[in-house]
Amino acid sequence: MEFLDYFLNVFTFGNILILILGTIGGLLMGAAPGLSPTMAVALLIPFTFKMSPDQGLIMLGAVYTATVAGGAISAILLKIPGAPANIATVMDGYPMAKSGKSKEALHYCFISSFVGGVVGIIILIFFTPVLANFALKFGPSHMFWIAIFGVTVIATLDSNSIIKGLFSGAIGLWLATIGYDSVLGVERFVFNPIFSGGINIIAALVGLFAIPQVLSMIENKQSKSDQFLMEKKSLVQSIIFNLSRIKALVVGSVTGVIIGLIPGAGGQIAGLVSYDQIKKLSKKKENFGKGEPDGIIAAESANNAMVGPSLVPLLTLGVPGSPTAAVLLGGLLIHGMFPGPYLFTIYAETTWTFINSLLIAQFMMLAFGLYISGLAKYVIKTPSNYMAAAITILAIFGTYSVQHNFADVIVMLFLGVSMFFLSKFGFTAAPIVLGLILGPIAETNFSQAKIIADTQNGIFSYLTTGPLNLVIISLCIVSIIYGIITEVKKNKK
Amino acid sequence: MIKINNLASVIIILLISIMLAYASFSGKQSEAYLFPKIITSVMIILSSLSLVHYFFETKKIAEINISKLSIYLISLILFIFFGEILGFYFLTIILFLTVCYFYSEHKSFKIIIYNILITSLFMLFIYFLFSILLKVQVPRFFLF
Repeated sequence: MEFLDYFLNVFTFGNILILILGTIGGLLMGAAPGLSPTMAVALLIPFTFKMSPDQGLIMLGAVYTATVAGGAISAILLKIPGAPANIATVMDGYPMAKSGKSKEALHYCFISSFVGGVVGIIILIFFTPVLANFALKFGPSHMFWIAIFGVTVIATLDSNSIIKGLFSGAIGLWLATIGYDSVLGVERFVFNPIFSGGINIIAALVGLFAIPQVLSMIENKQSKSDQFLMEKKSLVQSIIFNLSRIKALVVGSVTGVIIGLIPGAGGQIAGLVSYDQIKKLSKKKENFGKGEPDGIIAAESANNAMVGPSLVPLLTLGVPGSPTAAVLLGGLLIHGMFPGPYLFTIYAETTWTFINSLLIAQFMMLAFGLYISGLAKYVIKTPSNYMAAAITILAIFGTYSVQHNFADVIVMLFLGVSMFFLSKFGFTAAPIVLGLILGPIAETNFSQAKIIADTQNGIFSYLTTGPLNLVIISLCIVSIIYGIITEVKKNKK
Repeated sequence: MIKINNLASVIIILLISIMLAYASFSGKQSEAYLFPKIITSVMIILSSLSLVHYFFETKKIAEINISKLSIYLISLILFIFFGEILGFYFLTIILFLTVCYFYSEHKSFKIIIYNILITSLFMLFIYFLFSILLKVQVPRFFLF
């Protein structure tokens, strides 16, 4: 119970003020398309340099927690995920908002994020040393299959046609190969110098989700009155309903914890896998994608449950569990703290104060998030012409701010307009984005696997033997078969 | 209004797959192109399946209201060509006003004034968020 010795350290005036500012700032940054948790933490690292290590890490932790949850605000209200972790939230969040339940959807989002977040931090506090060993069991072949599993899940979930879904995922995986090969350093598919750095993920995310949404707003030109009809449901009703969805909360939290522990996997996979699992376990499968609360609850509890465990391999081994955790590593290093056993001995006070602050940050995120939910009506009542202009400008500035590169803006706009035309033929953005995100993970681990396999029985044997490989491959096959069966059933109807 | 048969999209994705596969298989250092080769092979299989599937599914026609979208699309093209020369703030102000005016349900002098006010407030927010808070140096023109 070492963490209790340092629990009161969080409750100083300065620390609480930093927590409040970090949480509010994180929620707002998360809600802005383009400002992902990774970018928010990266942007704040220089500001923490002048703070004490405790305060700097508290600020980064609060921002990390709040941006993951804040990304759901734009996912639900605008159909634009604030971050890759919120892709699964769009699927039922936006239909709920469209049917007049935006406030209710946001309530579920923040309550589930809170539950998942608290579970994740408790796991971080009590099981850090044990779980660090589990994280080490994942080798290149497992990581390769996990990346492929992520693509197959989203391809079957977010598309009316499994072939188109898988094709979209493959496009994403191919787009990820543009630029320099990570192992050999060879330049590939750079038809124009602007592509030499590859396709920026944030540019693709913003473009593929935001621009088609703007174009369909303009094309359909829905009037604000028929677009959203507001229904009233009190906060207490939302809390009672949310907490009664135990299955969705458990599936989301457990999935988030497991995936958070796997180095490099990230929140986007956690949200999607838990969404897939709850859909398969649900008796009302046909409601998913049309505004099913369980979809939001599972996805949001998973992506926040991932936050705590993603820090386990970071704090104990120096191996980040998510891209944001990788940036957070920089935050530790600038304060002279090197991950490993010393964090819990020499720097125990700072480390435990940081971990405890993550727990308090969950409460802050819940309080401020629920308050923001009440303001949702102002966003959704905005006329579509103002909304279209505002989203476009936010997308342009948000994309440019990632690397200060105008080419990213061009890529964002090009991908966005192309996606709008592709969507007319039943293609969806989520598999492309996920393919793009998971592409480098899949390729790097495939290349590493090949190097190892060349000294053994060959790549095929290396990738397909071992219990963990077989389990993940089976999950991929089940996911595709499930998608085919669902599509056949839907077509028969 | 443009009407496009679903068959056109199936053929386009098949052609794209073949093109990308050609680019992947003609790469000089075959080791570096191994992963793209696998991906593009999968793409060709999927797009061929899509073509087969087309003959068994209900025929669909996609409708795109290109005349409605043209002003927005032209604005984006102009931004791509002049964004770095004329600056982000200058061009996005024009883009905001254009989109607000042309896609507004009512067009009157009062609406124009209202649009200018909304644009100014929104751009002040953007300036505060990106230029002051996040210190992002966007391309500028004269004063902004």
